[in-house]
Amino acid sequence: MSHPILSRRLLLAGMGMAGMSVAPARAQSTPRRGGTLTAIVQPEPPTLVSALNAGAPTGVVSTNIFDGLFSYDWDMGLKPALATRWEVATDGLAITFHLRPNVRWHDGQAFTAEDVKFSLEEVWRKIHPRGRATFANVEAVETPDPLTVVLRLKQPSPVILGALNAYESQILPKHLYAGSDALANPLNLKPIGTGPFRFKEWVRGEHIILERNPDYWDEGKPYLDRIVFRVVPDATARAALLETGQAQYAPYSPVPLTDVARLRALPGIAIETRGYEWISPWLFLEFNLRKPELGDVRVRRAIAHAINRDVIAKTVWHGFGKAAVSTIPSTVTRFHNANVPQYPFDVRKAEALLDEAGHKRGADGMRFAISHDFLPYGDDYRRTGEYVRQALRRVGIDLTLRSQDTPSYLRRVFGEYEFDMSSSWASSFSDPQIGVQRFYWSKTINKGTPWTNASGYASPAMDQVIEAAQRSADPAERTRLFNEMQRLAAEDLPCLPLIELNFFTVHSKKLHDVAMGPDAVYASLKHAWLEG
Amino acid sequence: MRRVARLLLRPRALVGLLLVVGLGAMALGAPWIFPDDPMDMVGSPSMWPGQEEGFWLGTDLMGRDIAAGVFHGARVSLLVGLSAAGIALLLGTAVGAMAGFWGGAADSVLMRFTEVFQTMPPFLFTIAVVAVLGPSIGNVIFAIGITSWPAVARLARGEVMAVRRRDFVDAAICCGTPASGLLLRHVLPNALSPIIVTASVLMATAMLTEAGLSFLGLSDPNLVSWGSMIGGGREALRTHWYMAAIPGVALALAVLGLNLLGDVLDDVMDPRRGA
Repeated sequence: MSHPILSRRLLLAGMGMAGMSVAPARAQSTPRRGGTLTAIVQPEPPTLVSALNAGAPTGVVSTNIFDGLFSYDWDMGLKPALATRWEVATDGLAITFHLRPNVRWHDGQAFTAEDVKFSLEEVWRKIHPRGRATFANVEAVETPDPLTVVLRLKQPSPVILGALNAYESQILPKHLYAGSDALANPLNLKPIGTGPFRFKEWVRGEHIILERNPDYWDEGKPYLDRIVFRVVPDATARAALLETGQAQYAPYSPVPLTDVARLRALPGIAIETRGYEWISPWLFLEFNLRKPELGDVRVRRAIAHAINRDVIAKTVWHGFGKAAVSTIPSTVTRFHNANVPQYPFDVRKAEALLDEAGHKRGADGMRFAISHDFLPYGDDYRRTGEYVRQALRRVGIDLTLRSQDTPSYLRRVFGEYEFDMSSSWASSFSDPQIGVQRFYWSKTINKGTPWTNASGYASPAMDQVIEAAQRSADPAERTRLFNEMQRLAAEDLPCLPLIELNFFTVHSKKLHDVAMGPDAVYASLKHAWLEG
Repeated sequence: MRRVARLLLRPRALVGLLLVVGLGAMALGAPWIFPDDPMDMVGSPSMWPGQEEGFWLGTDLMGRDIAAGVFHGARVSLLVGLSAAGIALLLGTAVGAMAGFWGGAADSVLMRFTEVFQTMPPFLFTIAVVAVLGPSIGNVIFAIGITSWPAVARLARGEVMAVRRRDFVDAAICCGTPASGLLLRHVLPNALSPIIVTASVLMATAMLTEAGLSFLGLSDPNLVSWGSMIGGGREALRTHWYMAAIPGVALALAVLGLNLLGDVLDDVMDPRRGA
């Protein structure tokens, strides 16, 4: 619910400020120690361990408490974290990690190679939704000494190097998790990690407090004394908190897209779109190929021609997106292939394809009826559905929107395949083997696993390319194979990429060094500091 | 006749009638005045009223004509109001009349049953029903109807009990009128006027509930309703307040109109007033 009185007061305050001249920004480049950062996390995370829950809110908080072996630099290269360096054997069948000495868990125990071995074998591979695939080729994990870990591989797996940060492959303490059901461990709600901040307090529905870890291995960091993650479910309330300076940091597009232009114009607020490159989110339609109409590729191509992706990017998503040209987003520069079959917006072509497929317009002007389930993550997703409905009705496809809560959506689309067409977003990640192949590989038709191949698409040619890319250790060869994969994806069209999403972080201009890498939203705030 | 005319010509009554007639005219006229789907994006997004020609109430965040939305929204509101109130009236009157007419054990059982429904906050109850059945217009109507009949039942029971004790009912019994005829021909017609008056208020409440559901995103996503327009416009409240305000005013006027109409009906049906 909004607060009319509060809003009006803020509005007046905003008008007052607009009249003032903007003071030149004080140049302050040396980080300052101390201060409490109030951040906003939305929605409230169910647990604080990313190794067990891949949800975005969990990742935002959890990566401050835990570390990964590495983080990423702007070119998606590895930056040392718990591991200082790595070697890949010339035949690609072994990866060696050299760990950082003298790292301690928040409870004082030493961090060792055993923790890495345990996390990989018992957690990432067994529980993490993507870890299972990423580490599938790991045959054995050897720990010749407490600071060395060697992964023995059945076949080369360069994908592993793209999944080693604190979010995707989080290191858990073996001494606290071994021998118990990791998912039921009470420490998931008051975690003990090696990260720059220690868990202090969690009041459900209110806030999560983290405190500076004075024994952090990266000396001098973090700069902040304390981070308070507030849970604020209402978007307009979040905007008000940021605007009044009561919160200084909020990732993952925390305010209504319509409000961004207004916030951006305020003197104390910055809108940051960097820090999401490693995630590379895309918005797409998935067709259920089991349905007679949608099983026909001509119908899918007609639908692609009937939808104007620029309208979705500019009007529905207020410019926070870019029309997608291929299934691997352009932000994944190493693998993106723009040279694939395109389906430009062309109503006449769409109609011709539908006629050709034998779906003539009936007496009511409609050819056939299908339903569309949209991801219930907010108004932007609903509006995407509304646009698709309008666009398809125009070419004679009678589209009915279905709205529901998230568990029902996931059950209907990924659990029971009881849908015609769905729209959703997903992360591509820096390696398509982690983020994109799951929608195209026939072996990821995995009833009940969210965000996998729900279309039922199974193509031997596609499988061959995907599996070859998994085996290949040669970067150039993998790029070539994934280029081919994108061509097949565009030709067969089990999923229709709509737009590349641009998420953004809103933060106070007094907060510096927020977006320090392509995975900044899932990296700790150890570099961040507040102006005095 | 002169009494009714005098009652209807009072300013309060005139305003109420005007508003309700206006609502009906909007709902009936919508397909002719705005023949296209009101969900279509037809203009530039976020245009203030009058800023772009042809969109005298402006456009919303997606470039949909707000005027078209208000007119077509009236259809949804009226449909929900009429149908849900109809369900509630039928159910409530049936349960209440039987309880009041028979009394005793039947009364106890039926009233305990009614109380079960009354213990649940109606709006939360409605949300739960829609969440379980899924948000489509039929389910919304059903959910509102099924949660708003208890008040009618209590009212009907009281009225029936009062009428039941009157002399003409005893007379009918002496004439050997069977129970069903007694209830349907003698008791109920004389107990109906307060129930009819409630109908207009019931309709207004149903429309408000529907708007509340739409505001929360629990409405049929294939239809424009005032509530969904208010909910959608809320995001832009700080910059484009008219998107939420225009359907909000429409809803307020419609509810006001129905409440005034209720007063008018009350006056007209009570022979002691305006004589």
